[in-house]
Formats: sequence, C-alpha cells, structure tokens
Amino acid sequence: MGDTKLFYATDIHGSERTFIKFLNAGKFYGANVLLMGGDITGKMIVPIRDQGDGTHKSRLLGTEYILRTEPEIQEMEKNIRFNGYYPFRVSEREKQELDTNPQRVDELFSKLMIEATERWLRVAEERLKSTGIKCYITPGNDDRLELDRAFQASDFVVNPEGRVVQIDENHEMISSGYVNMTPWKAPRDTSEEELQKKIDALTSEVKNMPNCIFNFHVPPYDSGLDAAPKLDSNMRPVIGPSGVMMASAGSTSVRKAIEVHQPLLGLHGHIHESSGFKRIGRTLCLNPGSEYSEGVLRGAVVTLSKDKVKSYILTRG
Amino acid sequence: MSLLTETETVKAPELTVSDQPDVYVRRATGLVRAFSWTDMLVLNAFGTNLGIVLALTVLSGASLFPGSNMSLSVLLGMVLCLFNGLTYGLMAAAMPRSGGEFVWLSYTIHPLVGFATNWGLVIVFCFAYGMYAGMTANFGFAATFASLGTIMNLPWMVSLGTLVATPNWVFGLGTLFILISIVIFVVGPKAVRTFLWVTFVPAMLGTIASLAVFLSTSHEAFVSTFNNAMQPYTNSANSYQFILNAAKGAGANFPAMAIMPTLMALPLGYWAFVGFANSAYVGGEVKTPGRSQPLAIIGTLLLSGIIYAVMFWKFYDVVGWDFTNAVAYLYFSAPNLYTLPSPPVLNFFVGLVTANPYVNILIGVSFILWIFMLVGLGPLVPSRCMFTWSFTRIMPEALAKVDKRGSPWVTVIVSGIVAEIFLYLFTFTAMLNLVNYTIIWAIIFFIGGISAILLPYTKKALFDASPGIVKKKIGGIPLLVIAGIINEALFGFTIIFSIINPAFSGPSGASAYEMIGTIFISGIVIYIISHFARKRQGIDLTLVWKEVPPE
Repeated sequence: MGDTKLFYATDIHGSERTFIKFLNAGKFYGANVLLMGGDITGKMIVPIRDQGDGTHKSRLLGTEYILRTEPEIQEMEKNIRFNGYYPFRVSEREKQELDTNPQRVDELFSKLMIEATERWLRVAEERLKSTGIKCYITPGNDDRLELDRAFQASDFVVNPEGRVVQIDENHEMISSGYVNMTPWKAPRDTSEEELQKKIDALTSEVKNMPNCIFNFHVPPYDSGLDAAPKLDSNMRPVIGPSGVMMASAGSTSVRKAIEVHQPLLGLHGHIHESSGFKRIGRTLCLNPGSEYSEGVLRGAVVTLSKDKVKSYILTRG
Repeated sequence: MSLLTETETVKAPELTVSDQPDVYVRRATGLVRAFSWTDMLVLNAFGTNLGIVLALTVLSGASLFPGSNMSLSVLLGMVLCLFNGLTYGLMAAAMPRSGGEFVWLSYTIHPLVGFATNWGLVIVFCFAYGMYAGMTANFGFAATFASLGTIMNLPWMVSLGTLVATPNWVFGLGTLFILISIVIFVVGPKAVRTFLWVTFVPAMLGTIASLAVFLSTSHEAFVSTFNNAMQPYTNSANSYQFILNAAKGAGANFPAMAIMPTLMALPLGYWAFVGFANSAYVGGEVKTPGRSQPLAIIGTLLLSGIIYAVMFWKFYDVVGWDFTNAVAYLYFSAPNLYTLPSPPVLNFFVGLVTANPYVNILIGVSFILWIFMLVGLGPLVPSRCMFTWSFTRIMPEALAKVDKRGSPWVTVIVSGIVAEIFLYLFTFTAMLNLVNYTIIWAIIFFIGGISAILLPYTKKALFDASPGIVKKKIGGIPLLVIAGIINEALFGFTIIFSIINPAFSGPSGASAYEMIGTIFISGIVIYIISHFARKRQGIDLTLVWKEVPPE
C-alpha cells in the first residue's frame, strides 16, 4: 500500500465557504483522507426581516441591505452562510417574539444547525462519493449534542467521535470533540477527570499505538498550540504592555495521554490563534488554527507512510 | 477560541443575545466582550516608547537635520502615520489573525516577496536589539550616573557615568543586558509579563515627573542651574555661554528654524509614533463597523502627537534654540570638545533642574528602563517571525522548539546571538554606520503597502468578508486602496528623496546601498534554497498560500 495523504482542518464554525473548500481540498492537495476536527456549527443568526412592503431588510458585517427580489434574498442568504452565520427569514412579529424569548432563539439555533449540517453532509456525499476520498467529521465542544443525529443519517461521512476507526491499513485514529471546561460552558465541555476517562477508554482499544492518530479537539496543555487570550472576570481580554495577554487553555489530560502513549500524530484545534506544530516526545502535534471568519481554510496536509509522518505542511487555502 | 468584537448582553445561561437587534449570538467558545476604544488607546500607548522619544528626539533632530523644528516635525509625522497606520490597521482588521507583512505579501503576491521583506525586518529588529543593549549603557546609565552624581555632589558617580560609556564597558554591559533578556524569555511568558510591568510602571512615572518638572521650568532658571552645576566640567562660571562658544569655535553655525530641515527630519517625526496602531492587531471573528479602532488609533496619534509637540516646543523654550544646536553639534560632531558628564538627553537637563534627589533618581531610573525595556523585548519580534518561518517550513522545524514552560528558547537564543554580533559591530566598528534605516524601513513599508492595494482585487472574497470600515469606499475606490496608494506615494517619495538627498536619510553611497541590497537579496536566496530543499522532501512551499477553490 502507498502513502496516505491526509488533509485536516478544524473550527470552521458554520462558514459555508470554508466547508466547500474543505470538500475541494482532497483534489486540490491530492489527499485521500479528509478530516474535520470539530466546531462546525455557527455562532450567529442573521435575520432577514420582512418589511411588509414587499422588501426585506438585513444587516451583515455592519452593512444594512434592503432586498427587493427573491434572487436578492437568496444571494443574501448565500453571503450570510458563507460567513459562518445562519440566515433566517422572519416577519416583524416573529422578530419581536425572538427578541423577547431567549428560549425560542435557542431552539431556533438547534434547528438551523441541524438543517445546515444535514445539507453539508449531503453535499459532501455528492462531491466525494465517487472520488475514493474518505471523509471524517468530528463534532467539537461548541457543537450541540443533538448534532450527532445528523451524522447518524449519513452513510458516507463518518463521525469518528468516541471510537477507534481505521483510516488505512496501518493507522488507527481515536477522536474526541470534548474539551476541558471553558468559561463559556459549551455543550461538550467537561472536567479534566471526565475527559481523562473518555481518553483512557479510547486508548485501551487501540491495537497499534505507535501508529495511532489522536484526533482530539483540544490541544495538549502548555504546548504552544493552546495559547488563548487571558480573560478577566467580565470576559474581557486582559491587556498588558505587549498587547493582549495570553494563557494556556489546553487540556492536561490530553497532554498526559500523549506523553504516556506517544502516538504517531496529534491533530488539534479549538484555539484559533495558536496555529503551529509541537513535538511531544516522538508525537507530532498540529493545530492549523482557524480563520473561518475571513473565509480562509487553515489546514494541515500530512503524508503518512507505513510507520511515520513522511511530511507535513500547514496551509492557508 | 478567539476574540469576538461584538458587544453582547447575557440574557440566559445558555444563550447570548446581541445588543444589536439585527443578529442573535449564542453563547459559544471564544465569545468575549469587546474592547472599548479607551482599552485600545491604552494598548496603543503601550506600543509607543514615550520616554525614549522624549529623551532623544530633539537632540537627534538638531544633530542630523540642523534647523529642524521637531515640534513641527512630529506633527507632520502624524500625517505620515495616519496613512501608514490606516493601511496596516485596515489590513489587520481584514485579516485579524494573520498580522504582518509576511502573511499579507505571501497571500497576495508570493511567499518569496513575503519572506524577503520579513527577513529584512528581522535583521533591522536584531540590530536595534543589539544597539539598544549598548545604548542602555552609554546613554541610559551614563546619563543617569552623571546627572545624579552632579546633583547629589558625588564625584565617584559622575566618574562611573563616564566609565560605563567607554567601549569595553558598553560591550560588557550590553552583553549582560542581552543575556538578561534571553533569560527572561527562556524562563517563559510569565517572566516576560512580569518584566514588562516591573519596567513599564516606574518608567512611565519617571516620564510623567520629567514632564511636570520641565513644564514648570523657565529658561532663566535652567541657565542659572546649568551654570552652577556644570562649572566643574567647563571651568567657566557661565557654562551655558561656554558651550555656545565651544560649538561656534568648532565650526557650528546655528541655523534658524526652517521648513526644509523640518521636512527632512520627518523620519524622526514618524518613528516617534511607531506602535500607535497596535490595537488593529486585536481583531475579532465577528466583525462590526464599530468606531473603536479608528477612535483608538487616531486618539493615540493625537494624544502622543500633542505631548511630543508641546514637550519639544518647551525643550526649545527652556534649553534654548542655539544651545540645543550647540550641544548636539559638540556631542555628535566634535565629541573631543564635549566636556559635559552626560550625553545631552532630556532627562539629563531635567535632572539638573530637579532639586529633589528622589525625583531625580526616579527620572534617571525611568530613562534607563525605557531603553532597557527595548532590550528586554528584543527577542519578541524576531522570535515570532522565525516561528512563522518554521511553521511555513521555510526554516527547519527545530527553530520552533518550545520548552515545557512555553518558551521558544531556540529562536530567543538565535536572536540573542545575532544581536550580540550587532552589539559588537555597534561598539567597536563603524560598519553599522553604513546601515540606512530610513531606506530599509521605507522599503519594508512600501512593499507591505502593495498588499493593501491588491487585496480587494486578488482576494475579493476575503475583502468582502471584511468589516465595514475596511470596505468603505470613497468615490468608488476602497478606503484600503486609497490608504495603500498614499502609503506608497509617501514611502516611494521617502526612498527616492533619500537616494537623491543623502542628508535626508543617513548613510548613502555604494557601500550603503550594497548593504541594503545584501539584506534583502540574502532573504531571496535563503527562500530559493529552502524551496528546492523542501521540494526534494516532497513539500511544496507555495502550497501554504494557495487558495482552495471555494465553489
């Protein structure tokens, strides 16, 4: 068997532009395995408000748009999705209800996330099924648990969360989108103890650890791949003389697992501004970072030979 | 996780609803409160090295550009900064997690251009790192010891000031300071933060004290104090007049304030503001058209510009125009006739008119710390750039090694070694006199500006996804492009004028231009070697920057 060329990207947060790039990355980089490391859902809904006079109004990236025709509305929806947000057509009455009912907004988020993910999985299947390229997508800590249902409906895209998958005849991969607690208490945030248990359960099933890939959303603690802005009690970044002050936000459990088991490769995300690589013992750990809001697909192209990482490069596609 | 420049109000534990009625934001990782414009003003204020600018600029202007009025020059410098800062600020707002010319140029033109430009930048920063290490001794300590020794009537301290300004001491102390900076960075980020706070707070307090003393001093009081304090060094009861006569005797003429030299001093007026747009690098993933960034950037410019202009005007008023030119001439052009115990920096003069020894100590320590802060931060920019070179595989993986404390020890040590070489050249040779910084920086900013002009057309999707202020158009042309074009015009003018009129920028002639060429061409050669070496390993360096089709 020849080498396996893997393309890894992460944290696209609903950006349709970067998701389409991700699907095209297999052909572009010559990769035969595509892997998305989590946090695929968006953070913001952009209402397209029916003005009641035949026009719609919406605001995107600080600019207000008055939309007069259906094609204009559809173009607006496309632009909103491309930027990682969810478009939602709404009447003034519905808008007022949303403004006063956070629970309703919460439910709307879940609905739009699942719809978008199902659509993405269909597009992935359409584009990739005949190419021989494998596609794995793991949810991340920001992706709600109900999203797993969307993956269960797909018979092409594989969600490798919480199990061992064989990506080629030589390399197993274990995956977890769970992370140590963040100040935001995201859906897949958990304690270090719980994370350790999940990782232990996964590593116990690996047959060939030296060739294994750890696809863990959160990077190892204090690895240089986990430097995030330090926040004060009001969730405001702390400013110091050299700019925004940074602090390690990675997981000690992940670090310990890598130090103890020494897999071949660690693939991580979660901390958008900490792109780079780091060797922990023999393990090469990568975090490509994320620039989804600029429509840039940060990624890593990794060529795996039988028992080693033959080459790797971080990309800004 | 990343920053979100969106103001939000938490309405429910699991949900965040934006203050803006037109969008809903859920509670998600990385959503943090936005910076206010005052936060960013503070951030930008950290970026400008107020103490050094105040201490050195007037005398440097008098020496390099006789007849220049630095008070006016810094105001003109604000205009230059406005467009360069606007260009860089808008580019940073468009690509908030990709700051710097290396990424912008690699993305919009070619990584060869990005690397060669960034290589030049790192060389200049490493030189500054080495030079400031030397200056901490021969300007910082020498001036402070001389000033304190004179005021407190401690001759041994005055002698110590003279001693530490001699080449062997400058090199020895400079080496020690470089070693200290390496240790700070190798110990880790916490040590760097502690170092910054410990140095910044007293440095700023000393500068505020200097401003207060100087603003409350009259010309007559200064002359009287100077005459009394400097008598032992001039052997004259009228030391002030002695300096004027000595300079005249050495060939100095004291030109009246004039527009041409004031314009020629623009590089000094410009560099006074470097760092004022740091807030532009604090981007966010959800972009709003908020006015915080422009308010903070322009606010910092105006605030520091006013402080500089007032202080420099007051300097001429208190010290005297002719005396300023005389003392600068003697120190820089006829050093054998310069008999004062300290370099003629602002804090020396302020120290003389301060009767209180504690205030004097604070002012002296402040001046040392302002320079030493630059040494302590010396590895910062070169180290970050080298990391990027390694991450983009141009340089070996080993360059990006980080120890368990998160310290990038390899790049820190490499930066320190290069700085040490520059310190040696600075102290013992005239080789660095061939380095024309004005032209080198102008080239870097000129090339960097090209990316701003190209971005809206070559990376249209990225441009379209930028915040409103980046996309703002005037007469149908994006503000980013207009700022870029003016940036190119100003720095193109600077480069051409520097070559036509050598006095404008410093060293000139074949050797100086060969030095500039060597710096940038060596960057090109290194990239080409790396390109082919990586190709043999199956790695295509250009892939890093190629955009994947988005359709």
